[in-house]
Amino acid sequence: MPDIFSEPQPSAIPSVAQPAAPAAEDQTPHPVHLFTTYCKYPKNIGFAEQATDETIILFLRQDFITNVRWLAATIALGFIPYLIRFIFVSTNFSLFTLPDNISFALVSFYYLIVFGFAFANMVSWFYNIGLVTNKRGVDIDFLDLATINVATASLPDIIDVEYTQAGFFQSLFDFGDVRLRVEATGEVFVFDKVPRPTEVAGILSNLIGQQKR
Amino acid sequence: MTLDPSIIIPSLTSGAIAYIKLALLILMGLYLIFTFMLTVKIRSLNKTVFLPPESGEVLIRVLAILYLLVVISLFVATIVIV
Repeated sequence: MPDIFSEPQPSAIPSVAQPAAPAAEDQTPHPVHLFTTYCKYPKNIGFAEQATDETIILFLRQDFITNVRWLAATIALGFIPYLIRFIFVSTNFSLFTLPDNISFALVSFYYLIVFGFAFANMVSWFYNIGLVTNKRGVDIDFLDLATINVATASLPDIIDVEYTQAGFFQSLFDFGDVRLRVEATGEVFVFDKVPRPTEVAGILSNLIGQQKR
Repeated sequence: MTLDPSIIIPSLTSGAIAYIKLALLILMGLYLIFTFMLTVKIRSLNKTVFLPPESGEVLIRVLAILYLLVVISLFVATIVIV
């Protein structure tokens, strides 16, 4: 007699969806280029006093968009002599006349200053580097011509990691400040305006968790 | 009637030009010190953090040296031609 309805027999072993094995983290070293601002497992990067068993996990610089202000200022400064000349010629106005050799020296010096302004800003951005290793966080700041600040914080000493994304541009371009609070001194260690602050804070939290386990 | 500004405002006197030359040389000298400091800082930063050549570290170093040379050249040229 054909079965109209048959209840499915419960299998001995209930089929439960197996949890996916955690994907192994890609630890392939990545090259760092001139405009790199965020790099996991950077290739051929090191710092003074790096321990032999210390691996750099994260390489950080300020987001490139933070350079727009000085880039725009440099372009504007480059056009100022032309603008002044244009105004003087169009209004047929002259304060005084300078000999050609002095004019040449003045204009050349002006453009050297403009280039120097851009170059100093570029160098300041290029060497403002944050490094996260498997042992500590390293923050290298090239503040101005007279100040280089190198700060390190051991991962077990860090008690709190937080990040801030304030304002329209930080949200739009996904960059912000990552702050690490150091237990012993209570000092705050800041990676300024770094890209992907959520990921950076996550990586740091994981590393601190691993260290404290 | 159109006024010619070059008639109303004459060229600077030789005394004023000498002051401009002196000021220019002093400023360039100070700027030379600034450029030298920048080059030294770059060298010292390269001893603090080791970046690979493809990261632009070599480019920055070469630019700093070239820039220093250009500023020295302009300083010397100003002494000679002005």
